[in-house]
Amino acid sequence: MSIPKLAIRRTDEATSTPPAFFSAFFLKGLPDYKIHSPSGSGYETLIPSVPTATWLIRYTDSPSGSGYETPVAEPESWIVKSTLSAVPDVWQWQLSQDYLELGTVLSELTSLEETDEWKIDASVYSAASYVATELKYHSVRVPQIFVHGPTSVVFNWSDNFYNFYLTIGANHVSALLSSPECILDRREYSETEWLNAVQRLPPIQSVLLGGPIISSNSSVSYLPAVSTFVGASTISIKASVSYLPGFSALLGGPIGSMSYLPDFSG
Amino acid sequence: MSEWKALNGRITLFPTGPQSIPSAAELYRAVWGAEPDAFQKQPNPLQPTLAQGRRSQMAATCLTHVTRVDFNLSPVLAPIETGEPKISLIEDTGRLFGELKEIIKKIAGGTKVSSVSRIALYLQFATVRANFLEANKALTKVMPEQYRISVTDEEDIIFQVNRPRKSGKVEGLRMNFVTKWSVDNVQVMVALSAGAAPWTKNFLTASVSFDYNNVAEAALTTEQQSQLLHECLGEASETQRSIGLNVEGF
Repeated sequence: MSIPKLAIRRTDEATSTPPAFFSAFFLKGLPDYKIHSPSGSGYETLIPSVPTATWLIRYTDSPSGSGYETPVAEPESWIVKSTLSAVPDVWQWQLSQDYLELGTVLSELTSLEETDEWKIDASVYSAASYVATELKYHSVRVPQIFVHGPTSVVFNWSDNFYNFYLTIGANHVSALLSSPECILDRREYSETEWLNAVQRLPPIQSVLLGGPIISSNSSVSYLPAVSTFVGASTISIKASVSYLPGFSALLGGPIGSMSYLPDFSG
Repeated sequence: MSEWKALNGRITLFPTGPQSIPSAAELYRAVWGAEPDAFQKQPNPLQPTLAQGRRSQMAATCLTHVTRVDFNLSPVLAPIETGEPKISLIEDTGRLFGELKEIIKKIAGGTKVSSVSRIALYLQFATVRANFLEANKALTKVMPEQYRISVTDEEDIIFQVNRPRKSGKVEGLRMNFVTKWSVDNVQVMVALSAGAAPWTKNFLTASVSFDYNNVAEAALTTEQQSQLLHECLGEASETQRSIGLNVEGF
């Protein structure tokens, strides 16, 4: 039986023994391989002072001598999360996915050709992104988005009877609640009232539902969820609480979630 | 020597409203005076962009998002030599304290984030333990008498209090002083190349976090931001001593 050979060398051609991670990770579970060294006594390469370098593993088929090289980066470790035994909150995951899609749409709207009628101004894009982020932090169901021109975007929520619109311009937000028959409520917010615009959504919700809205804010300053926080040793602790069952608010969602809710209340 | 070391230190600025925030790389340079080793820009506006590098044997990360800017210091995790993932803590906590003060100094000088209404300081101290019994014991030892709970080997303990009060630096401004005691199951992940599956290992840590911030009311001057952050840092320093963490250099 022919035994394939495996050689390890570093791209910079210095010589030393391979680091421990090779035997720990890459050579484990390969009983049919032997480590080959041309010198017969050691391996090619290592400069300990270089923290991360590319290594090459050469696989050679004996006795033909044919083979190929695979580059290997030294593995890095990082803390990815803290885990609780609680069941993850599916709503928050879905909410994140939905808002990512909304973000993608906003990004596309601002990168269109200047002549495109769907293109929005950069300042509107910035304002809409800000409002969308706040809506997400407040666990508000993702809206539909409409564009009438470059100077505003409209976020819309509908339950097939009521419609709620947030029209977002560069320096203002207006909220409008309507039924098929009439406008039920209309409010304007200036640029100094951005946070109020989002915060005052619950009272508007209550108009729809005819009852109190339970909302939960937190005084902590959690990091936003970062899906590709590569290499960062960051702890993110998610403490979810159960939410009100059967709560079908127009703006939707489990209102009682504590996750990632920065406190902007007084 | 204290057994409590730092797992994370973070300063956050919250813009008053939508504004053009400089890139994470630009803010990294402005605060740490060097080029980041890595910069990741997200095309999606609802995801943060980040710039990363090393600073005083710590991982330094600037993260920008439409609603916030974070300057984060965390441990540089140990290289994989033995094949076992390891957890690292910031051993030189005095240096972390100094770095946080440096960030505040840069903020006082202006960070190009034009209008900020809220600041936050986050600190997490931890000590690694072999099992829940030991971790719970370490945790309850540093809880003030009035909060101390009787536990043995229970899991997932979290206790958090906010002791809000008016700022001593900016008149009339309400501050949140949130302290959290918890036993965390921290997962260290080793990312491997060559298609190998990542290797993870869990560690139990008794952990005390300080999340101090103001309630957003109006735009703060850079001087006020600096004063508030110093107030938070001073309060964290005092509290960690009073509960018995005795973190060196703080």
